[in-house]
Amino acid sequence: MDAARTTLSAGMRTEDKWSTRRRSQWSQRTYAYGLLAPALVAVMLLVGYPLLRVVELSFRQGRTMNFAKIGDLPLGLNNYRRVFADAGFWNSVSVSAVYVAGSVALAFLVGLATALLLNTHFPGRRYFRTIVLLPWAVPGVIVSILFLWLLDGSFGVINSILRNIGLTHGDVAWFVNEQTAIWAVMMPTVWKAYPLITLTLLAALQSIPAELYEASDIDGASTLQQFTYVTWPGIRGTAILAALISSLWIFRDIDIIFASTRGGPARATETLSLYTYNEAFQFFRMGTGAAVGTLMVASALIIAVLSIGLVRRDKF
Amino acid sequence: MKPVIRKALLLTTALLLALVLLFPIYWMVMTAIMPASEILARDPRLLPDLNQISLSAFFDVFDRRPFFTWICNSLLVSCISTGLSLAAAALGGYSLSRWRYGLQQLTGASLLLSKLVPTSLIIIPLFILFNVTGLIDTYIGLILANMSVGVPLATWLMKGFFDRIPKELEQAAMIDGCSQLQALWHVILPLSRPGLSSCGVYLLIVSWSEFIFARTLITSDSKQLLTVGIQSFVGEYQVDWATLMAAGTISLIPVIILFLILEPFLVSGMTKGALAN
Amino acid sequence: MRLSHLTCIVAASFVLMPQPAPAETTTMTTWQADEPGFGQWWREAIEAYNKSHPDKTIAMQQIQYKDYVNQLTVRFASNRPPQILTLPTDGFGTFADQGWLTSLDQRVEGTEIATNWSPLQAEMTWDGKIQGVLLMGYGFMLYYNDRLLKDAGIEVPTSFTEFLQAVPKLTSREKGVFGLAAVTTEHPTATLDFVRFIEWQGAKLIKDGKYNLTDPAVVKAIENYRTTVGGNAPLGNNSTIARQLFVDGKAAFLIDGPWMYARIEETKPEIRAVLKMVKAPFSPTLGGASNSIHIPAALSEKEKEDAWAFIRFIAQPEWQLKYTMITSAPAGMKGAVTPEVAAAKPQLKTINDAVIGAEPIIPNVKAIRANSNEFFAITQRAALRVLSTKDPVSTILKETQAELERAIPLND
Repeated sequence: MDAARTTLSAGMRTEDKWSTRRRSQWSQRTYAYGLLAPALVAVMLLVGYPLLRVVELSFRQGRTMNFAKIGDLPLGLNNYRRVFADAGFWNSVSVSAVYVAGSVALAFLVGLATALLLNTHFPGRRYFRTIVLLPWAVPGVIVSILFLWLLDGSFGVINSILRNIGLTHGDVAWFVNEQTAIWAVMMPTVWKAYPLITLTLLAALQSIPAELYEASDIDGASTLQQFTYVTWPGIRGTAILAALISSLWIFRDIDIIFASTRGGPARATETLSLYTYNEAFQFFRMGTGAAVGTLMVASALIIAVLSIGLVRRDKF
Repeated sequence: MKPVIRKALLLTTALLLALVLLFPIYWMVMTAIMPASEILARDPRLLPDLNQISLSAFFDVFDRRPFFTWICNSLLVSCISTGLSLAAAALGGYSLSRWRYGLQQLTGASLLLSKLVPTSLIIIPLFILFNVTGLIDTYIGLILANMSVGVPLATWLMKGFFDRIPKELEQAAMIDGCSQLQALWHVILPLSRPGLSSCGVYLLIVSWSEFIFARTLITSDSKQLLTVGIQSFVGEYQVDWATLMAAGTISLIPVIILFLILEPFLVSGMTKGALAN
Repeated sequence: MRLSHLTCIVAASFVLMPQPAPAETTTMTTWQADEPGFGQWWREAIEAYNKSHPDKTIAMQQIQYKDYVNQLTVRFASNRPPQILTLPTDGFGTFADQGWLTSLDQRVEGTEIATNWSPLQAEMTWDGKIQGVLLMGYGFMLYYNDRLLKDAGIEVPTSFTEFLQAVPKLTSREKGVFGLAAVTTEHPTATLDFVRFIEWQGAKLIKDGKYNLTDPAVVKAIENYRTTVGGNAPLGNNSTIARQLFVDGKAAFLIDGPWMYARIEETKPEIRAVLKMVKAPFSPTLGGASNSIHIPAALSEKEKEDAWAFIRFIAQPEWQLKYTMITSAPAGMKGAVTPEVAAAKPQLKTINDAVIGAEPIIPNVKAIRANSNEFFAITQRAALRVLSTKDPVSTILKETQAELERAIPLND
C-alpha cells in the first residue's frame, strides 16, 4: 500500500507544479471562501448583527428598553461600572465557574466511560448505543420538570430510595438547600450534556487504526498503558473540542436552572447567564444586561481561543 | 482474560450504566402509565404494578392538544434545517480542511463565536431584525434561526472528518479529469458517511429540541412547535404529570427511530477500508 | 431539474410562504385562553362581540403564562406591541413606567368603569392617569381539606393565631401529608406569603413611609413563618406544584386567590367534596388587583378605538355577571352577583364579598410598583433564606432592609 502511495505522490508532484501554475491563486481562494460562505452567512447574519447591537447597547446609558431609540442615548461606561460594583455580579461569576467546571468534568467522565464501552464488542451493543444517547433528545422543559420531580424533597423517588437504603433521613430538599442546590442543578445538566461528548469521542475512537492496538498488544502493554499511549493521543483533540463546546453551551444555558431554582436559594445557583436575563427581563435594565453579556462573550472567547490553539496542534 | 468472561463483564457494566443513566427516562415512562396515587406517594413503587398500568395518558395527549400538528411542524422545521445546515457545514468543513489561509481559518474559528452568546441577550435585536424582514411567524425565519444554532459545531465536526481523509484521494480523481467540486461529490462525500451521519444526528437533535427561537418567533397556534407546545401541559394551577410525561415519551419516538436508522452509519468504515482502495 | 425535485421545491415554497393576515382583525393577547373558566368566558365574549359587530373581528392569541411577561417585553421593546393585552398586576407597574400603555381617562369617563367598578380599579392609576381597566380584583381565600381536618379533630380556624396552631397538628410526614401547601422556592408568591405573615400578625411592612423590617414585631412574625411554613410545607414547590399537591389531597391548607376555586370545580367528585373554601378569616383583609386589560400607546387612533370598543363590550353588566359565574372569580364590576345568583351559587357570593374592603397586598407605593420585579426578587430571596437556612431571622431581615433601601429608596 505504501509503495502505491509513493508512486502516486511522485506522479502528483510533477503534476502539481504544472497545475499550480495553471490554476491561479485567485481561483483557489475563491473555492476556499466560497465553500465557507453559506455557513458564514447563516451564522453571522443571525448572531453577528444582534451581537453587535448588544455590544453597542452596553455602552449606552439611560432607559434602554426601547431598542428603536437606543441611538439617542449617550455613550458611556456607566453600565460596566454598575456591574463591577455589584456583589451579585461577582457571586454569579463564581457560581458560573463552579457550575460549568463541575458539569463539564462530570459529563466528560460519563461521556468517556460510555464511549470507551461502546467502542468494544459485546452483545446488544447496538441497542445500548441508541439508548445511551437518548437523554440528549428529551425536550428541555421535560428534563427540568423530571429532575425537579425526581429530586423533590418530600415526594421524590430519589429521596425515597436514599431513605430506604439508609443514606439519608427525613426529607432532603436538594433544590432549596444552599449547599446542595448547585449540585442538584448539575444533575440534569450532566444528564443532558454527556451524550454529545459520547458521540464525538466515539467517532474519534473509531478512527484510531486497529493496528496500533495490535502492535501494543504484541509489545505487552497493559490496558492502562494502551489508554495513555494509544487511545488518549488519538482522541485528545476531539476531547478538548467536545469539552469546549459543552462548556460553552452550559455557560449560556438558563433553561434548566430557571425551571428548577430560578437562581435561588439566595443566589446560590444564579449563574452569569441567569443574572443577565434578570437584568434585562426582570429589572428592565437592558444596558447592564448587555454589559454582562458582552463580558461573558469576551471571556468565553479568550478561553475558546486558548483551547483551539491546543486543538490545532493535534491532527484530529 | 478469556473472551467470554470479558464479554460478560462488558455486558454487565453496560447494563449497570444503562440503569443509572436511563433511570430518569424510566421514571418518566412510569409516571405516564401509573396512576397519580402510586407516583405521588412518599415511597413510590419502583417496579410497575401490572394491574394498574393505564395508557390513557397517551391518548389524552392527542385529545387535549393539537399534539399531532406540533409533531408535524417540528418534523418539517427540523428536517429542512438539518438538510440545509448539513450542506452548509459540509461545504464549510471541506473548505477549512483543504485550504489553509490565515484569514479563512480565522473566519472559520469565528463561527464558534456565536456559541458564546446567551440567547436571551440577542433575542430582542433578533426579533427586530426578523420583524423588519417580515420573517416573524414564518417557517423560513425559524429554519434560518435553527441553522445559526447548529452550523458552527457541525462545520468543525465535518472539518475533523475531512481531515482524516487523505488529500491524495481527490487529487487522484482530479488527475482523472474531475473538477474540485466533482471530486468532492463523487469521491469524498461517500467516504464521509460516518461524519455526515454524526453531524446529521447532532443537527437534528439541536433543531428538534430548540426552544427559545420557536417560542419567540412563532406566534400563531397552527405553526406551533413541539417544544413550546409541551410547555402548555404545565399550567399555572396544575401539572398534569401523567399527560406531561406521556408527551415527553412520545416526543422521543421520532428520535429513537432516527437513531436506529442511522446507527449503522455511525460506525466508521474508515480505518483500513478506504486506504486499501 | 427532475420533476420530483421541482415538485418538492414548489410544495416547500407554499408551506414556507408567509400567510397574509385577515383584514380588520384586532388581536387580543392573553395567557388565559387555556385556563379553566377564563378561557371559556373569553371565547364566549369574543364570539358574541364578533356576531354583533360584523365589520370588526376580535381574535385571541395565547401565550403561556410562564413566558407571558417576557414575550410581551420583547414585543414592546421591539416596537411591535400587541393590539389589546391583558396583564398580570406585577407586569402592569413596570410596563406603565416605561410609557408603553395608553391612558384611558377620557374613554373611561361616564362609563360603568368610572361609576360602578371595584375600588381596586384605583390600582390601575399610574402617574395620575388611568392606564388600564381592572378585570379581576380579589381577596385572599383560605382553602382547606375537610377530611384531613376532621380526621385530626381540628376546627376551621377563625383567626390567624388559630391557624398557626392548627397547621403543625395536621402534618404527618410518614403518611406523606402536610399541614400546608405553600410556595417554597424562589417564586413571586413566596413574597406574598412573606408579606401576608407580617400583616396578618399585626405588624407592618412599611411604617411612616419607611421600611419596617427591623421592628421586633416583624421579626417575631417571620420567625413564625419559618416554623409554620418551613416546618409544615413541602420545600421546593413553586405555585403550580403547591396547588397541585393541595388538589391531590396531600396538604390540609392552602392560602390562595379565588381563582383556585375554578380549578377545584374540575376535580373528581370524591376530592371535590372535601375541598372547601372560606374567605381568609384574617385581618386586615388583604387582596389586590390580579389582572387587567390595556391598550398599548404605540397604536394608531383607529386601532385604539377598535380595542376600546371591545373593552366597553366586556364591561357591560351582562358580561360581568357571566364573568363571575363562569370563572368563579370576582368581577371587576361592583355588585355583579345578583341575589338570585347568590342563592343558587353561594360560593360566588363568598368570593365577591371577600374583595370588599380588601387592601392591596403589595403597598401602593410608586417606587415599589415601578420596581416591582426588584421588590419581589429581594423579598423572595429573604423568604427562601428564612426557610432554607438557620441564620437568625433578625439578621436576615436587617440585611434585606438594607438591600431594599439601596435598591428601592422610598423617599421621593
